[in-house]
Amino acid sequence: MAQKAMIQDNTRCIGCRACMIACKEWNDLGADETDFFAGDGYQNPRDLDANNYTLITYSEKPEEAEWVFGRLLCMHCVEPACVSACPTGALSKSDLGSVDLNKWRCIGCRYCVQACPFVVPKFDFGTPLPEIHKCTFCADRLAADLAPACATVCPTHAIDFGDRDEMLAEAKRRIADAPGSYVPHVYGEEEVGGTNVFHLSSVPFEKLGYEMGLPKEPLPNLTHKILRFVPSVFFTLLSVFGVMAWIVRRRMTRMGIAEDH
Amino acid sequence: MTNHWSDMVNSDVVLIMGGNPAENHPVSMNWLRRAKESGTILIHVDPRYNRSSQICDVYAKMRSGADIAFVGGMIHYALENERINLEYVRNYTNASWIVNEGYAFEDGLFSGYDEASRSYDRSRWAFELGEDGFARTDPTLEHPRCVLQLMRRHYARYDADSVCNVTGTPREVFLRVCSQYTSTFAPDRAGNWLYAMGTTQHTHGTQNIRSYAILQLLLGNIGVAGGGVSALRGESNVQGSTDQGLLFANLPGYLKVPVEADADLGDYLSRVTPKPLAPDSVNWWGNTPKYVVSLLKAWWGDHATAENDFAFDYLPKIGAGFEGAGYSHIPLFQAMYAGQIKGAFCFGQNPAVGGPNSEMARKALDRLEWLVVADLFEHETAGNWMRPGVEPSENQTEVFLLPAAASIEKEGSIVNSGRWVQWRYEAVDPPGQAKADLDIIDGLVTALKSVYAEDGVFPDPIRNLVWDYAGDGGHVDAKRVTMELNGRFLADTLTSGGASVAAGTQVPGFPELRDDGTTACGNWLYCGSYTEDGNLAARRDPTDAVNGIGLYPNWAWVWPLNRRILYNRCSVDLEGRPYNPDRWVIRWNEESRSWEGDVPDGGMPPGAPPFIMLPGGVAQLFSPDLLDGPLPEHYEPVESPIRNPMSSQQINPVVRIWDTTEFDKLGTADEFPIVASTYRVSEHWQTGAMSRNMPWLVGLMPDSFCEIGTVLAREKGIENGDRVLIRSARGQIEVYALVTERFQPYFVGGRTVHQIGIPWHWGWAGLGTGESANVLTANVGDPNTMIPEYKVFLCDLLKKGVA
Repeated sequence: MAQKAMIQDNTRCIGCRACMIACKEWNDLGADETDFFAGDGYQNPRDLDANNYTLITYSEKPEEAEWVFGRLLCMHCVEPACVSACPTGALSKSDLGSVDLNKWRCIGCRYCVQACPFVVPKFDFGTPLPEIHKCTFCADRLAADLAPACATVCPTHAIDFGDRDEMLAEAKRRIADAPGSYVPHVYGEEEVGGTNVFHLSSVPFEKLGYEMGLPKEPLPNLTHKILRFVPSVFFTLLSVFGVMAWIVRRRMTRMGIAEDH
Repeated sequence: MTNHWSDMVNSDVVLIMGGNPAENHPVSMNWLRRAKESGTILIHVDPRYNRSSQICDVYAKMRSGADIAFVGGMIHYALENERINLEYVRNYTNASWIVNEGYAFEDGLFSGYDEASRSYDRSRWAFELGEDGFARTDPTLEHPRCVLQLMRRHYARYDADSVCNVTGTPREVFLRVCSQYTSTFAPDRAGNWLYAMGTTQHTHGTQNIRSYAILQLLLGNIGVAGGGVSALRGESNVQGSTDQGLLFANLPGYLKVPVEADADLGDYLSRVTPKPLAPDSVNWWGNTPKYVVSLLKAWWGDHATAENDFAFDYLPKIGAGFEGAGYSHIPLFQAMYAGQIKGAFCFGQNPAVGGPNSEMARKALDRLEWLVVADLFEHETAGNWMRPGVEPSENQTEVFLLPAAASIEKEGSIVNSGRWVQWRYEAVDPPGQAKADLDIIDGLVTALKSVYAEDGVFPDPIRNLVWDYAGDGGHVDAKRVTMELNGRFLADTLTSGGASVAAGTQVPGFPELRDDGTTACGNWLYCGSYTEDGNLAARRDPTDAVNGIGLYPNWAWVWPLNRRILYNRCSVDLEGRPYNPDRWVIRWNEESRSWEGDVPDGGMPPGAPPFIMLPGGVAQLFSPDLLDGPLPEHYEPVESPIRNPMSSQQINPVVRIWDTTEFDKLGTADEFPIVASTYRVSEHWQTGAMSRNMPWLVGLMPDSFCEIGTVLAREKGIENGDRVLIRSARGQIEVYALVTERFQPYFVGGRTVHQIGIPWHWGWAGLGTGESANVLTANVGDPNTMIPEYKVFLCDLLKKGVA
């Protein structure tokens, strides 16, 4: 099965937020308790959270009447830092391209929150039974050969969905066909080793509130060389010490030092 | 719309004025986005930079209410620079018609004005008639009193500097818009003009639209692919509702409602049926008698006969209305306030929030003895008796709240802005006891018929009303209603083509309707939509027509007669050859002696005047039909911050100024120096009766706010998120302030003027509550349509807690 990917074309986005609502509807997320707006323009809430797996950002250019919209969501990286950092393997990269979270394995340690270069996973600080929350890429819809909810509902086709190679080629084609309309960069193509969400924009990406200055190498490479041994080292040491403890105990019992239970 | 959504990719330039489709018709932006990606230039003219401006190529700021000046300036530019489609103008408009000597225009007033009655004697604008009784014309367009020359003189005053002094648009931006838009005068370029409530909700709203039509005609943009005047119709199903005659002055199909003075059918028909104004004019409304008689037969069946004037007496006739002002919203609420209205039905409407002057509207509703509300939620109108600040025990209104089904919980059609009648099915059952409107009306009529069977004042119209729409399971069958709208033959007869049809056969199209009682038709415009071939509105075939311009002739059904682009005879010359062969709409095939492409707007061979619905056959650049002038002239809104720079006539000279209640107050710039406008956002819908009960939507936009420019905010010491008080001559509200660069100050009439904006979706009822913007708006409206001037009024604002 080919890996799936998404194009987020911000030249088509009208900031209507149908994507945010479709995502809440599909994932049965809660409503936000708000009084006003939390950011430039109509932004609500301020950031991704337990009730918002995707968020439209509004950024006003000072001293000029102009508006730009961006969209935050999980980038479903090719080599996800969160998957590498997760000590229990709750996070995993699927064949279809989604980075899946198995909440039954999640121990709420928040290593993924620290590791993610896009600052995506969010932790429930406000509840007694906290979880980690992030966009699922609608993996259940992908399995039924449907596009994610956001891509399905976007009225202007700002969100496109399909096989990763095709989506990347399409993103590049749009820039090539209308160079005056796009910043010549596909955000998500090379960042941290590549992702499965390709953003296009008519203005520099920092104006959209996106993370900038990210390395091209996948983040797990930084630690993977050593840390990949952690589970095996851990279990090996556990076993070795366990056996040694058993041998020592036996000897001590035989020597009458320890009681025989 | 004269054209339709999928036609927009054919436009070279699209200009949006008085509309915000990205926020209020988000799905439509897909078509505009595709047009933009195919090279169309998008221009947005608006007082505020909003989500539509963001996706357009050019944004031109324009003060609320200055449309006529702006477009007048574009007309001036087109005329001065000869950027008009001269052949089109000569042949297809009344540019050559000569106006009588008594016509004049001086300092903002046309000839024939009577100040006491605030009205015009429109005969002073009549055309000069020849001996044949038709208008005299000068095809050379030189005669000093021909329409084109009158227009040159009228628009000479709308030079760029004068215009920008009214609109507040930066001069270079204005000229850029003029240049780009008027480039569509060329026969191979087309421009489309989109507009919505920002245009219509003014005391000169009708003349606003007239300006757009005039410019489009000068440029040759009507009836061509990618052209048109595109009204962005209200949130569904406004197009359908006006088609079916829900406006008080209309019967279904835009027929005129009879008045008290119409003594009988003959009187009425001779009043409303126009005579041709030119010798070769087709004058299609000349068929009015056929449509009226067929309507009467549909409603009263065998009880409508030639002997009884086809039951014309059964039709209600309207009088002059409250204080002679008719029956539109404002006089209706004035009458209600005066205690003249005992009871009201309020279907899918929330006037306590959506109508102007909310405090007055709410007190007016208090005077009702009974109120029936059909809606999905108990909104501010249904709950008016328990609104904050009133004592429920003092209220005398008995409220019946009927739960209504939502649009996906019932079957029927919705008509989009492009006149596409698209059939929809019931996706889920309505919850609990909620019913479709059709079932509610059915229950009401059935009950009425049963009580009127015994007794009643003049019971015949109700007793004899044809009413047989029952379907399965005790529901009304929407298809049966639609079949009646289409109409059927009532006797065995021959069609105009000589084919014989049996009684009971569905009529294939309105050319077959008769005025002799042999056809019944509930709405002549919809004749042809449900024929012997079935429910054409349910078709979903995406195959395009032979000319490949996005007509999709077999997707749904379009009125009239599935014609996708109106006035399409303007897209060809007098020989029937397309002006733009690359995007041809229709073309005449000389061999087969027939038209190809779209359904031609009049099947006659080439050469006939193309505006068949007008008595003159040609489009009216100069129109004696409206109450406030034959040509648009800029007037300031009723509440304005400046003196009218264009003339001494400050406001529309025909506007009615109400002075009946304590709420009929108007403010002046001394006390209320800031201009305010109301508008809508994507996240909420109309009065918020539904959307403010959706927790996710409430989370996005929880509470009332106003948008204030950074300069004004600094002057007032207001920061983003502060609570502010906004006050007008009608009332005061408290809302959040959103400080933004997207409102910039205007320099107009020689001074700086600030404008703010307030989305009007909020009220006290529901999950997400807030104060209603319409507390601030006034009971003043356009003289022709009476639509209230929601889009511009004066206010003052200050930060809450500051004295």
